[in-house]
Amino acid sequence: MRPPVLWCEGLACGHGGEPVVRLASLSVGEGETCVVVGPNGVGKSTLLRCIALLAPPLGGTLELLGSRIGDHDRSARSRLGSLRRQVTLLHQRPVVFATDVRANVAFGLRARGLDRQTVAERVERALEQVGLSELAGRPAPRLSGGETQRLVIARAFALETPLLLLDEPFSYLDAEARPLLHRLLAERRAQGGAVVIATHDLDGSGLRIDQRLELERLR
Amino acid sequence: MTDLLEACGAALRLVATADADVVAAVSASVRFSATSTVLASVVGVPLGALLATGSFWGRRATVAVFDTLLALPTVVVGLMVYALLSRQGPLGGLGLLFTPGAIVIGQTVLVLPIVVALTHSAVAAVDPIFADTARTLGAGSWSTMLAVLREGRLGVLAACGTALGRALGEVGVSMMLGGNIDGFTRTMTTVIALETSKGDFELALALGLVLLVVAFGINLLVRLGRGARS
Repeated sequence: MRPPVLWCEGLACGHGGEPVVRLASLSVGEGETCVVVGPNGVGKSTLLRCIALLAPPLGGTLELLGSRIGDHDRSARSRLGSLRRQVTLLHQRPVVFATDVRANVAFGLRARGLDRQTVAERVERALEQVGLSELAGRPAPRLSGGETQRLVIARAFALETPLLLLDEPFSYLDAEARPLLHRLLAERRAQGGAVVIATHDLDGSGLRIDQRLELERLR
Repeated sequence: MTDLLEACGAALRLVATADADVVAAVSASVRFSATSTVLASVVGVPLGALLATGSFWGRRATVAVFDTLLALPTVVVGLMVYALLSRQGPLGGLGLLFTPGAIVIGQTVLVLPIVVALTHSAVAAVDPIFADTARTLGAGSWSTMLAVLREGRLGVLAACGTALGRALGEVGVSMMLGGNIDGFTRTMTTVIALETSKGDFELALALGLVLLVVAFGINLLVRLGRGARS
C-alpha cells in the first residue's frame, strides 16, 4: 500500500520557537483535497509554510510521500531540497520575478534540472492552459493583476508536484481566474495530485472537498 | 579673487584642449578605480548577498565588521597594504609597491566593505516572500540567492557605483602605494594634491572639475537606474 502524500501527527508550527498552530493528525492521499479553514490569524499560512518545508516543525511528526521530517531526523533534513521539490506552495499574495513570463514559469522546472526541451514544452503548455502564450516574452512585473494571477497559477501547476498547497487562493482571484483554477485543480487531482487549500471562507468556492480541517486559536 | 578666476579659466582651457597631463591623470584614475571596483564587486556582491540570505554562524558579526569598515580611512588602508607590499613585508617579493597593481589592491581593500555592506542592505530589503517563492518552486540555496539578488539589482548597482565614486575620489591609497610617479601611477587626486602644494592651481582645478563631472555622472547613472524601475 502506498503511503499518503502528506501525513502528520501532533504537528506544531510557529515562529521563533513559539507554536502558533497544532494539528492532532492529518492524512491526505493521492487525488484528495483537504481544506483547512479558520479565521484570519489562526495560523493557516504558518501551517502551509511548515508543510512546504519552508519553516521547520516545532514538534510532532510530518511525513511527505513516506519520508519523515523532524527536528532530530538528520537524514531527512539532508534530503530537504529534494523533498521540497515534491511540494508547491501558491502564496496568498501573487509574486513574480523580474524576468519575462516564460522565465518565470521555467524557474521551477530549471531548478529540477529538466532538459531544455522538456522545460520549453512544459512552459508552453502551462502558458497555453492559462491563456498567456501571447505574453510569454513580456516582463512579468508589467502584467496586469489578472494576468499576474494566471502566471503564478501556471508556474505552480507546471511543476506537477505530488502535493500542491494553496494559501487563500480565492481571496486574490478575479472572476475569470476562478473557473481556471477549478479546472486545473480537477486535472491535478485526476492525475493523482494531493491538494491542501487554506481559506478563511469556503462559502461559494464550489470546491470538491474530501476533508475539512478546522483550525482554532491556540491562545 | 582675480587670480582664482584666471586659474579657473586656465583650468577650463586645459580640459577643453585635452591637455596631455589631464588626460594621463584621468585615464590612470579611471583604469585603476574601474579595475578595483570590478574586483571588489566580484567578491563583494556574492558575499553581501550571502550575508543577507544565508543563515550561518558568525553572520551578524561579519555584517557588523563590514558596516564598521565603511568608515575605514584611506591612509589606514594605505598603511596596511604598504606594510604587506614593502620589501620587508610578506608580499614584498612581488615587487608591487609603487605600481598600478599596488593602487588597485589598496583601492579594492578600501571599497570592498562598501560593496559588501550596501549589497547586504539592498538584498536584505527585498521582500522575504521572493526567497520563499524561489524555495517553494524548488530552488536550492544558490538559485534562491540569485533570484533575490535579481530583485535587489538596482541597490546592488548603486553599491558598485558608490564604490567606484569612492575609489576615484580617494587620495591616501594612491599616494602611499602608487608613489605619484608621473605617467605611471599619477592619478587625478594625487595630481590635485601635488599641484596645490606647489601653488599651481590650474592643473589642480582642471582635474577637480573633471572629478566633479565624473562623480556627477556616476550619481546620475545610479539615479537613472533607480528611476527606470519606479
